Amino acid sequence: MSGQRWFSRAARWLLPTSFMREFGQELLAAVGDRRRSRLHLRLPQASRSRRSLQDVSLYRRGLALVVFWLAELRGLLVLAVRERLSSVIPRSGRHRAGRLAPRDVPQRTEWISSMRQDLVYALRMIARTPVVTLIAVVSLALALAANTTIFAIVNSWLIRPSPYADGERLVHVWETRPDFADDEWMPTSPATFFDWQERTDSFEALQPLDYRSANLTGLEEPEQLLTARTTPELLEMLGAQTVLGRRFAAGEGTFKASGATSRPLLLRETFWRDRFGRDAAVLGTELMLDGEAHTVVGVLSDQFELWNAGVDVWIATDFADQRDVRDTQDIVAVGKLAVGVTAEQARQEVSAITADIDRENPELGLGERAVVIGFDEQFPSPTDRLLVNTLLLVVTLVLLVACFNVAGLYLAKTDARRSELAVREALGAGRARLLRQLLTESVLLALMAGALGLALGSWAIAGLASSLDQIPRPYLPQVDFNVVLHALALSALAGVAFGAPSTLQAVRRRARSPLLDGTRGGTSSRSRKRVRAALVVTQFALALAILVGAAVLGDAVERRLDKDAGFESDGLLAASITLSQHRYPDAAAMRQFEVLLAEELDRLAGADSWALTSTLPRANSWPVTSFALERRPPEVGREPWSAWSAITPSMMETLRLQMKEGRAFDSGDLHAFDDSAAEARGPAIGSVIVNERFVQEFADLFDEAGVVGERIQAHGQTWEIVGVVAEFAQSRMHGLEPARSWIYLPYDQYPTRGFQVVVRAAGSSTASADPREIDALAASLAPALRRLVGSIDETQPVSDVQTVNAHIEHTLAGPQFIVRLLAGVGALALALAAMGIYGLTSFTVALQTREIGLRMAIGAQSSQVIRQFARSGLQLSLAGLLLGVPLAFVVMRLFDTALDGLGSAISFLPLVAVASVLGAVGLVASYIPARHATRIDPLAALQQE
Amino acid sequence: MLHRTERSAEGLLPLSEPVFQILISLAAHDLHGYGVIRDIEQRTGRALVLSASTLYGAVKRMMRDQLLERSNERPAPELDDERRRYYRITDFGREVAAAESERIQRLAGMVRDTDFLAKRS
Repeated sequence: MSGQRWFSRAARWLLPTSFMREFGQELLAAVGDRRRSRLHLRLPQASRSRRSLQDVSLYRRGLALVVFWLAELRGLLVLAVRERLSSVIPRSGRHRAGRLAPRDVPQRTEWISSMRQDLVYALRMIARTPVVTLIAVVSLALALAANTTIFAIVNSWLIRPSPYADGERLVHVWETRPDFADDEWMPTSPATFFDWQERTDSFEALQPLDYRSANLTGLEEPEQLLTARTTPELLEMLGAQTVLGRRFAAGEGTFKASGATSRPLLLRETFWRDRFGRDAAVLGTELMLDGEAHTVVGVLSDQFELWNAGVDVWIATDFADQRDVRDTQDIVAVGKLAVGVTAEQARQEVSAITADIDRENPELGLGERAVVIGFDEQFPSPTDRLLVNTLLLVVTLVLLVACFNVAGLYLAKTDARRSELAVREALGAGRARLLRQLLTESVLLALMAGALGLALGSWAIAGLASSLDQIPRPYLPQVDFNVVLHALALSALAGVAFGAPSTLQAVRRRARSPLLDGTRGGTSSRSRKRVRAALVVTQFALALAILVGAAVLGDAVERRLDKDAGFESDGLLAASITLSQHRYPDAAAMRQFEVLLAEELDRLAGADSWALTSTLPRANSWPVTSFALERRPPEVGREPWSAWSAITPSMMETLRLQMKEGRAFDSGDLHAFDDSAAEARGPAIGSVIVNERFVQEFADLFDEAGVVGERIQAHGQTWEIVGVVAEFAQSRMHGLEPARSWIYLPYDQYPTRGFQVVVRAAGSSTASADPREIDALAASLAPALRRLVGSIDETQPVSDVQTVNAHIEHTLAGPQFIVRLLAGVGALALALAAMGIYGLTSFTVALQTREIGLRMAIGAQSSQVIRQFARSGLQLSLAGLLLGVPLAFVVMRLFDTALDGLGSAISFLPLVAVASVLGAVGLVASYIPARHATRIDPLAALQQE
Repeated sequence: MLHRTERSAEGLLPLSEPVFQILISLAAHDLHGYGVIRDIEQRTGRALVLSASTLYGAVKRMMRDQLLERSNERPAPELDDERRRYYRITDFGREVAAAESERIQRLAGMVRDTDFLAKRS
């Protein structure tokens, strides 16, 4: 029933992970048992009363259930508080298994009753000034929501304990190369992995993992899945939980040994839901993956996700057939450090083993280093950390602005209540009591704002989580205990902060009784005005810094992440195809598929041109290869590395790429390896194209004559560089990070198993057309493209059919979300600053009503009065801007460091623009109340009070 | 093991009621969590009804204090639910339960000696 589900959700949410891991299942099982017994026990009792048997039993049953859940929930809350506290507060010296020592009870009840009094009074005061309350709550809530959102990221990346069992001991072990930078590494080969596994002592366990895509056939439509092949021990080591069935049993990697006829397989919860509608009957069924049968033995919880997000199925294997393979790099080594061994010690040991392997197999060029990186370190990257910490600083500034703003409002409000406070004091309220009363009020208001902020923040967090789908699920920001606690603590703190000035002023002025002070606008008001003016100036200064920061970062990201830099993305449709090993075992078979595909694509109606490429623009990942210049071969193991893709010649035309030097591929480059005559002439030489960055990065390798015509060795073949392609957005963050060197091989000569079909829709060449219309044209080709592939091979899945623009939008969602967030935060700061200056001017106008009335009565022009107030408002904003400029510089510096290489994008333009906008806002915000002042009827003003 | 000899049973007294009742239940036979709850309900005539959370909170602390441990014995497979785990009282747990019982008896004796109950009625 749903009660049970809610309870288990609440338990997971409230209780620490460690407790849930140890007792969670039992606890939930016991709650279920209790609920069942409650229902059965109560029923006969109810039926004893004879009248309307059914009703009574139903009623009793419902009541019993409510009472039951309330009791369980209460127990859960007490347990949660206790468990959470016990991890924060160390136990006292005396070991107690029982309850806490009884407290001084009478004192506590007195404290509680006065607290209750304060609360009721505070609520009444808050309700009495709904407008002020609304403004204060909304502005604080917005600032708190921004803080909650950013904190949720910080929490999920840096604070929350590892989602895996013994997470602090879990590491990845990577291979590296002598010329790799410290933050570059790659998967290892099976043979090297097993060498590590056999020779190391640093790990309690070291297990292999291999991510690869596989084609699922036999169901309605073929589908491409991401699979993770691994040993049963790995899932055991990581404590993966199943939601149905079981994990792999020990030894099941060698399935034949256990008498099974097919490999065991685990589905991922999401995949189970999407593909099988959570049908439990899936257990025991056979799935055909790449032509091989696999038996479903269980479903893994969505909460379990490793480095590589989006794995659909897990397959048990022991890698026995690959033990001696050294020329592939696809094993991800996952280890659990032995107790007491640090990652650094493990790194030294694995490095020493790697050096031995290097001596035994010098041709590998392994070098003498290995990389051991803790799960906690691998994500987030240092840049992400810096970025998110900078964002945290920005939202904290916004909260400060909001606090200053509400502090200003509260000064005015407390001012209006001077008499009331004086009366209370005269009646015997102590200074401490008054102080507490006022603070209770502001903290209560802040908590209301906190609750609203939390709701808004949760909404933003959900949006954030859905746009960050490249991040492993355990690291996705979500609302958990820490986030709620942070939001409430922060709002309470904000309450104290914005309540402090008015509270202190109210209490300090005790010496001069306001009861005697009948006039308004006296000197004491002027001193309060000074405090408020200081608040407004600070607000302006902070707002300037925030807006400049938001503008600089937003401008830089928006401008530099030019979505289709160097190519034309409008009107392109892409589809991903991965040929399965069992149907297309070798290059010849793959080339055959390509020839058929090319014939069909040429006939595709509505398409201008098409191309195949192994990597789309703005790709998330790409393969790399070492290469050697033929004239100047490097030392073994010292080869330079570059990213590469295989493309068809039509790629240049389809993507509208520009050649910088040399030529594009032509028909003469094709089928060089099919041509037996060419083979007779000697070893075939293929053609390659490199990008501009390649030329720059390896400039010292080549002569001044340039790279065109040079020959390189790569992928075990010799290639001649025939051209240089102009830079375009090939990698995901192109523009924000340095370009990468790239080698383009002709697809015909080096076919890849996985590739993308890119089709340019007919009519997309007309420059005047609306990009959305052209994209709609491209999208309409999708069904034809699917049919076309199906007509060649009906078991061949086609996945990720989408326009290239949709692909880019998806890839850039993360950075763009941050820009939007910053823009929102900046707008909030601006609105708050405007409210601050408006509030202050209105306050001043109200204070000086009599003075204005007098001046108007003796003939002052309304323009003079307006000028007076507008001038003081402008003075305040100018003072704020002057103070804000150095602060803005600090923020710009920070962003410059946070986003490496952004320096060139930082200019004074945003500073000047933001300052002008703020100045204008300041002017308008003080003009409106000033104009209001001139509408005052002089007679009424003079009679006031 | 070292801890156990260092720590005296008296150091843990007085026990809270749930802790004491859990010890009494497990002193008779090994039980799983829900079994403990039911046993306490029956023995006390529903005067003490533990929520599952209260039980496991106490169980965690009692395991930390080495009053109980997980039992490896399981019932016949057809009666078994693999989510359930069985708990067993330790020797130290028995010692603590005995010490608490004595304390309560002493306390009851003191009350009897003062005629307090008789005066009230």
